Parts: sequence; structure tokens; C-alpha cells
Amino acid sequence: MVGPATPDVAVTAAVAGGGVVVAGFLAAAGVPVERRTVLAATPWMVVGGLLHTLAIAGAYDGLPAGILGSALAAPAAVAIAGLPWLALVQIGRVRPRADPAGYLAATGGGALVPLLAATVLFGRATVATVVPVVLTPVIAAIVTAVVVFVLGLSAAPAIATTRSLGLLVVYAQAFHAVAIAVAVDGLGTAAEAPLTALATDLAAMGPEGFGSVWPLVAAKLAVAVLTLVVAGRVVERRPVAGYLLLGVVAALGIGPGVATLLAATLLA
Amino acid sequence: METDADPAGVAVALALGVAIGAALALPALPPGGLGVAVGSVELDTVGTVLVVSALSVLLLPLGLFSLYQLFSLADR
Repeated sequence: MVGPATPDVAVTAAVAGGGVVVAGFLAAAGVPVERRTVLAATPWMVVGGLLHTLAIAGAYDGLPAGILGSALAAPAAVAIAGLPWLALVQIGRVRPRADPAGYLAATGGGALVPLLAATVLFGRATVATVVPVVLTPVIAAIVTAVVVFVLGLSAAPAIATTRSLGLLVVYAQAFHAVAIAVAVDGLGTAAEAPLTALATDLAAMGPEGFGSVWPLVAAKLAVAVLTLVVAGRVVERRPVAGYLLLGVVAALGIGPGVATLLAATLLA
Repeated sequence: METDADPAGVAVALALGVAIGAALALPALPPGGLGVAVGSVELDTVGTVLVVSALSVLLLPLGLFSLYQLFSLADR
């Protein structure tokens, strides 16, 4: 699949700077960075993946296609998510009650519905393409359960400290890994990402019958476990840094996972 | 910042999110009207929007709610 043209340096700097400025505004406004807040950003991680896939598939023209079809989709998603959240949090300050995590989850969930509908309409929804989309999150949940069970036996303090965010990180990385396995091994899509191609080459040297991306699946799960153990210690001393680390690792699993899965199925 | 449940604020946030999502989704919609076939029945634009909206409204929040509850269990 040929993606849109890469934006020039000025646009790249503007979009990346915009993401940083919005993040800076959020920090200056003192939005609470808690476990629940990072968890509430999950719908926006999915939105980022959807926007990137739609742009790669040619749903957008001109500058938006270039921005959303490149790595700039990440800072763009931060800006798109951050601006309304900032406004809602500031409004909440002058009201008797405020629920910043609820606002973030609600805006993300609300944005997700029309985008998902547009993806289904834009793409090719058949049984052969919808079944992998439905099954992948389920398989990822089973893989997550196994990993968390093993972690509970070997690194229980990390699970106890990070709690739901730890589960999210493992689930996100498992989801991305399973999405790649479904795309490459199940649907025969070419391994385009450098890490996926490297893992495929590595697997070619191993025993046959296990698929071609199992080294990547193992590596991603190992990274998730390692991150969880490290973040567990960070959270004990500096909760905000620990939660942000877990949030970034979760976003790097869910966003690319959604993009990989949809690019190989609905938008293939 | 004091945090507390805020149903009215969350409802406004949800509406704002839908507006943002619709603005982002609009360019991705195919030109010349929408149409899907359900079995042997061809739906026009209005029917397509209704069916897709109903499926999205039913399935997506249900899935999100299930995942949210799953992860919330770990915080109790």
C-alpha cells in the first residue's frame, strides 16, 4: 500500500510543536496524571490508529493526508485530544464538581464512534475481513491473561503497584503482537515495518510450523513485562513519571495495533 | 483539583467528542451517497446511516464498557 507524501520540514515542525505546546498547556493547567486518567486516554489511542490507517488508505487529501499518514499522527492525535480536554478541565474548575478522566474518556469514546463507522463504510466489510478484526482483541486478552498470571507469580509487586495500567500495557503490546501475527501469518500481508521484517527473517532460521512473527510476539511481550517491572518501581517513587511511561508504552501498542489490523483487513 | 463524578460534564464531553469524530470522519465517507447490502436488501443512504449508527452505538460502548470494567476490577 502506497501512503501519502511525507510533509515538508516546516509542517513537521509545526505539527510536532503543536503537540508539544498542547502537552505543555495541559501540564501548566495542572491536569491530574493518575492511573484513571491514563486509562481514560485509551479511546484516543484507538482514534490515533484509525486516523493513521484512513490516511494511509487514501481517505484524506492534501495536508491532512500527509500529516495523519506519517508518524506525525501521534502529535496530531495529542493535539486533537488535548485541546477539548483542556477546555473541559478548565470549565470544570469553575463548577462544583469535575471529572477530568471522565471528560477524556467521553471525548475519545464519542470521537471513536463516527470514525469507526466511517472506517467500516470506507473499507471492505466482509466476513473474511470482519472476523479477524473481532477475534484479534479476544486472542490478545487470552495472551494477556497468561502473561499476567505468570507475572503474578514472578513479579507480584509490579502488578500490585501498576494495577489496571499494568494490565493495559500488557494488553496493548499483546494486541499489537497478535495483530501483526494475524496480518502477516494469517492474512499473508507483507511485513513492511523494519522490526516485523527483522523478526520474520529471524523466524525463518527457526523451526517450521510456528508462523513467521513469533520472535516479535515474544519480544514485545518481554518488553511489556520489563516495562511493567521498571514502571512499578518508578510509580512507587514518582507516580506521575511512572504513569506517563506506562501510558506511552500502552499508546505504542494500541495505536500501531489498530493500524496494522485494519490495514490488513477492512482497508486492505 | 478535586475530582468527583460529573454526569452532566461527561455528557457534554461525549457530545463534543462525537462532533470532533464526525468532523474527522466526514472526508472518509464515499462521495455520491452511502449504501450497503444487508442480505439481499440494498439500503439507501438514510438506511445505511441508521444501521451503521445503531451498530456503532450498541457495539462500541458495550465493548468499551466491558474493557473499562475489566481494568477497573484491578483497581479495587
